[in-house]
Amino acid sequence: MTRPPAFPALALKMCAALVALMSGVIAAPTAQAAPASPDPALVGKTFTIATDTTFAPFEFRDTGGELTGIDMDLIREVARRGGFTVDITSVGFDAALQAVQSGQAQGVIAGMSITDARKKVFDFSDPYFESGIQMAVAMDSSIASYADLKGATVVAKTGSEGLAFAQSIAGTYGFTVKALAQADTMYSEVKAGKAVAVFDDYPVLAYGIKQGNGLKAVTPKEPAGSYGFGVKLGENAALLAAFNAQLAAMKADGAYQKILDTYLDAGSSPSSAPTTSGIDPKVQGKTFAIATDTTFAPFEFRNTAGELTGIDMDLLRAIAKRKGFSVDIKSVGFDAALQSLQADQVQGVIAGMTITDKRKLIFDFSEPYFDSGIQMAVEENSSITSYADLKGKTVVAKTGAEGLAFAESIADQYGFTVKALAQADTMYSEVKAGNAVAVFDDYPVLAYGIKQGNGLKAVTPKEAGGQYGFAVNKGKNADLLAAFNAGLAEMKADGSYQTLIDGYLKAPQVTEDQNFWGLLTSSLPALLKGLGMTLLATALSLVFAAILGLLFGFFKVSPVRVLRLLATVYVDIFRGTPLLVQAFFFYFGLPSLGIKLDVLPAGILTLSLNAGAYMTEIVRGGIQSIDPGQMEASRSLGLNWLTSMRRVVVPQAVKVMTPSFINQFVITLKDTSLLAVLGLAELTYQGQQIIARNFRSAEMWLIVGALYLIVITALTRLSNVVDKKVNK
Amino acid sequence: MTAATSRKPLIEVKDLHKSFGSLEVLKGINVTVGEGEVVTVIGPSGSGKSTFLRCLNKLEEPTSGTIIFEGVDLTAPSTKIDEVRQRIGMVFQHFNLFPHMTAAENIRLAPVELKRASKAEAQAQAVALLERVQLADKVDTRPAKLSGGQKQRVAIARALAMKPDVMLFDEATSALDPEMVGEVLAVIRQLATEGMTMVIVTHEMGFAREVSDRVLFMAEGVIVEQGTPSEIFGSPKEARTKDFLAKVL
Repeated sequence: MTRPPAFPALALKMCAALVALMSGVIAAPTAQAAPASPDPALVGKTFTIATDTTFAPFEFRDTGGELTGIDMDLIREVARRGGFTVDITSVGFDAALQAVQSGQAQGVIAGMSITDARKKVFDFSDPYFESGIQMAVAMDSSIASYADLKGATVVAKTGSEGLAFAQSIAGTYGFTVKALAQADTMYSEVKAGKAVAVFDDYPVLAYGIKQGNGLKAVTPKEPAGSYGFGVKLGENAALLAAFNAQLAAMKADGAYQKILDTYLDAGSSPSSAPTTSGIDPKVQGKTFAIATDTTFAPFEFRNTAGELTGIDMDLLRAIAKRKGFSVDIKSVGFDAALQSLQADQVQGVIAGMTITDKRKLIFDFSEPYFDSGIQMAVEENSSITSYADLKGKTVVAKTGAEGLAFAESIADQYGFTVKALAQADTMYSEVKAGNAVAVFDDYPVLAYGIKQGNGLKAVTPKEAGGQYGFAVNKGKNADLLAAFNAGLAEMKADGSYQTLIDGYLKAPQVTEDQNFWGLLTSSLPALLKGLGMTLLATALSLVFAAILGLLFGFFKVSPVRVLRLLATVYVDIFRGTPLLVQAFFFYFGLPSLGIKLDVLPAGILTLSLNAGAYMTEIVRGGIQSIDPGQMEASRSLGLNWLTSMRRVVVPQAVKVMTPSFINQFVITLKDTSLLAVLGLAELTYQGQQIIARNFRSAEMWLIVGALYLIVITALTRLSNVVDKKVNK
Repeated sequence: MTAATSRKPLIEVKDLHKSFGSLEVLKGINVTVGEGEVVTVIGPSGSGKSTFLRCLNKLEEPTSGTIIFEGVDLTAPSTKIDEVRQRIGMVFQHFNLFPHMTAAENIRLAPVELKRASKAEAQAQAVALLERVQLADKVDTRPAKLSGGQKQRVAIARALAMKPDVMLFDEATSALDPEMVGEVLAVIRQLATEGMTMVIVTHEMGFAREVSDRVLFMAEGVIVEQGTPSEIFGSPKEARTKDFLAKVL
């Protein structure tokens, strides 16, 4: 069955997202728990809790410099009630996660979304906040929708839901996503016009806008993860249990709501309309006929007992149960299901159906209940890990499928051949047999097959794809649609949606990637790309720095007072301010003066001017180390100052300066790592990005460090050899 | 005022003062050096001998006074000092050879840079000059491989390469081991016999007596006494001259 690619129906999402947010808080499973008494095992203890530096309104410093915010109030109240104390360490988001992994902190509360990837290394509490992603632009921007982003650059925070969301739609809308580690940097980028929009969690955006950060939110909220308190996987279970118990108690007695109200506008408070939760009187007791496909694993298929099961089936049944209605499932095939709906033979269709603009003309769709996407899978033991490895090879995809369209769209770029096959099982057999090296298919379909042990493995990230929705006939059964949306939002909020999806899609723990060599192999391509950028930035910066150093170095020893003064001012400014401040100024400050620089030119400008100042001092020192008698002897022969410098002083000074030059070269190479904060995709930045994904900070920083060490050692040796050859 | 001389004047120094900060080193020097004349300057350390010499090619900027060289006022702002220096050779106490160049390269640097000669011509001249100072075998030798005496002879050859009208020697033998002094003095003596105008600051009293047409005795920034070697060394008139000679002879 073909499922043509489609654009996400974003407009439809707005109401449902609101519902999700509103219901999330009170729908948490522990909400009805009685006031919890302190766990005696924790009383009197102190726990170190890591958090972000600035993620208002969840954590930020008030005007008195005190760390405050929703997270802070929440964890402190939990601790107070639980009879233990917390020592808050505000280290930044990535660092907070790493702190828990390395045991420096026992818990992390940092507006952290509960994701599958994080669940592999963290145990999460019950969700304490239901978030959502929004896009914000500069106040005077004319951008109003994702479609306006074509060709532009947007920013999002490294490792955040906003980043994941932005990347998931970047392909569809044709914009570029840049990940940055710091929230404030991110907003500065937009203010400075380096990026046109920022994707971030809506409470954070809303708070910043309320504070007058000069941005405005322009899109409806996209549903995103729920925030949870995290502890290291398998550790501090008592702390986690205490958090859950006290959170539930706080929700029950209103203390929780009071905290939220302190920081969020009443209007955007996610808990003001609790009526949508639970049994919906409008559909209670009714039975709806719902049509579906015959077999589209894992969405609908018959299990070994012959019963119709799958994600669609489980989801629909669960929602029906929550809302108090019954369903009569009719498994008729995809095309027939759609026709039945149009003919009003059934009231709804759920069949892994992509929401498309065309279909929206005849159907009303629910909030998307599944984000699909294309993934590439290879034979279990294959060494192929990226599209780049496909050069000269053959891949397969299903005729007429989104996977085929995607594979063909990148075939030329990566130099591989695409073969279209009509049958899913043939496709996988081809790969197993080695006739093709990879298959491109919808990720849930692939994931399901892999989970079933078809001997393949998925190796690439999910490409943005269509979203699946539940449909009713245009203008009809609005109650059913509303009940579906409400139930879906509840299930997403309380985690049962995720559990359901995981039941079908979550692959058994992959072990290949977990050992050191696997980690090295999988991260090396990105790291080497980063290393290339590091070397490029270093080389270009050093060329300019050498020119500046020679120029100002000569100024410093010249007999002309004005030139000496000029050189002194230059050196004082660039030696007397931190490189990072210079970088921020050139990147964020210059645009307000009308000079816009991309990150690479800005980075090179910074490093050149900075290293140039040190080079100036090296040149000055080198020249002044030469006996003044040399200059006198040359001048006494009638040679002018410049010729004397060029022929007599400089050739001797160069020998003196060479070791310092090599030293400066090493320093500049290492300094490029500071440009990671601007989002320059150099080696350190690549390391950050990989760690945001796999949380393996120890191994990754070791690898990154080793790469720096190897390159610097090799280049230093080379420089010394050249020095000896040239200068002897 | 100035000592009487029958020669055509080459250098005329009038009321030359030089201060370093608040320290006045030269307190009004008046002297004329005639063409072909060999003038030696003697005196105790700190008397201003070297400063006086270095003022003659403006390695030191005079504080006041005038220096006329071949009719040109060196202290005038319009004077192109680099052109004047091409006609004034100077030899330093510490040789100041260029260590990254061979003996020949040291010698031919200025003629080539100043377009006085092609590289080949300058090389031939360098070889000839090295022969003249008895160093024909050191053409391609770097200064580090030369003895002090050899270095100073190369330095003299380097100064001669510009065919100067006058040679200034600033304690040219003071940094040398005693056994090497003779070979350098021999070269200077040779130049004297060839009629080269020279101003020589030296501590070698015997040499001064032998080679000079005139001897200047300086102390405390002034010329105390001047005359022929026999006048100065034979019958000094001033007490300070007598004292000094009593100590060094």
